[in-house]
Amino acid sequence: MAFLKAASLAMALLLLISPVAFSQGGQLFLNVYVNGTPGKALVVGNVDDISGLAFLNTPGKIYEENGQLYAVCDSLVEKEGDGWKLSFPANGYYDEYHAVFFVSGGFSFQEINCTKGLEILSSAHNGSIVLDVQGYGLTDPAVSFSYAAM
Amino acid sequence: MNICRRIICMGLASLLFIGLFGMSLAEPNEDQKTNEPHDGMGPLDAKMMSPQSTGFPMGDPLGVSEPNENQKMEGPPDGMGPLDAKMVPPQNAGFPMGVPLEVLFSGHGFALVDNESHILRLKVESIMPLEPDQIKDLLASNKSLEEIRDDIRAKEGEKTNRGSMILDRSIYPLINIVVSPFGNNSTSLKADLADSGPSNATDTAILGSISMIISPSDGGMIGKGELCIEQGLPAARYSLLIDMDPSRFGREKMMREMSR
Repeated sequence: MAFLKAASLAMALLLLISPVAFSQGGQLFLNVYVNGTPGKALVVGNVDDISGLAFLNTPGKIYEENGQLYAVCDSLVEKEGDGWKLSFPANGYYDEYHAVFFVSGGFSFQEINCTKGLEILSSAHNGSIVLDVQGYGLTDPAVSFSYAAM
Repeated sequence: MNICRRIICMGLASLLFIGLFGMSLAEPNEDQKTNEPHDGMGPLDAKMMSPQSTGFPMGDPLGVSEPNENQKMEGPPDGMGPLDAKMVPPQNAGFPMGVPLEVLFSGHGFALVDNESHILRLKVESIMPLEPDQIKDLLASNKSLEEIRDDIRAKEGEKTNRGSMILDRSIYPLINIVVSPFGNNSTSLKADLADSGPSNATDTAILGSISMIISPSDGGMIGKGELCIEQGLPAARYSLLIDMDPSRFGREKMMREMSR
């Protein structure tokens, strides 16, 4: 009888430790605004776990309220050749990832790199360039793109 | 009794095997098989594909579905300098700029036509418009993050919707999004598909439309409707069946506001 109880318990545990439980990840919905003069980027949106975003590990540079995140970062953009390069790495597993990057000031994209599995969409409007990046079920998704004055 | 124990042990072993097998299937899809790289592009070249070749919809949906082959970001391979980087031609204003407020709808399912089924993802979120000049001012100012938040929230009354649809592996911006109550806890969603290819910024071409009803079903939400692509490929009228994800970041709030 004790064996039957133990077996039942084991079965219940196996069901609990299901693949679904292992595949749970976070969600990231962030917009990143970069002024034409690089150095600062405004990051706004929602993310389940900010620990995966190393560039946000700056005390006093993050404000979070009711799941809404506000941050100003100066480490996302760096000079590269005649233009600039924005790198946006995220660590961890994400069920859903949606990042939108806005760069204003009359620039055009030069090169874009994304982790496999991310789908991208670009647009340009009134001197601003926009990169929309979406993906699902991704580990350590990363986006980087370079841009230069038109 | 021994037979009973043996049966139970075999059952447990089977469950363990199934569980482990399932876990391996549930790993992130880093190794998911995707389309082959462009002709003539080896794995090294694929890591630094120009924007046009990394999945940008450029008017022809079939031509934009190439996946990104670079699994991790890496530095430029030797021999690939700035000359290899092609410029992206200006594209239309498919996505309005704004601060994401709420994910109104997010789901995945299928677009069905004849005997074909295509994987489809749909997402609609509400945003607060944020103009480039406003961003510039915010970043140039020495305002605290709380003050920045207040400045952004000052425009909350002007919020609008932004959406996108991924059909197979091509993203289509949604425009003219209309969300309205449909009775019986259902919601009607209608939108046009914008052409994200090069165009005059003041004249966004419409490729087609999507119309669906999102209703409660078995404890979840199911979207059923129709996707009509009139221009470009694959032009067709699809039936939609979408499993809507649980609401995040305040969809209930939006529904309450709509019902007022």
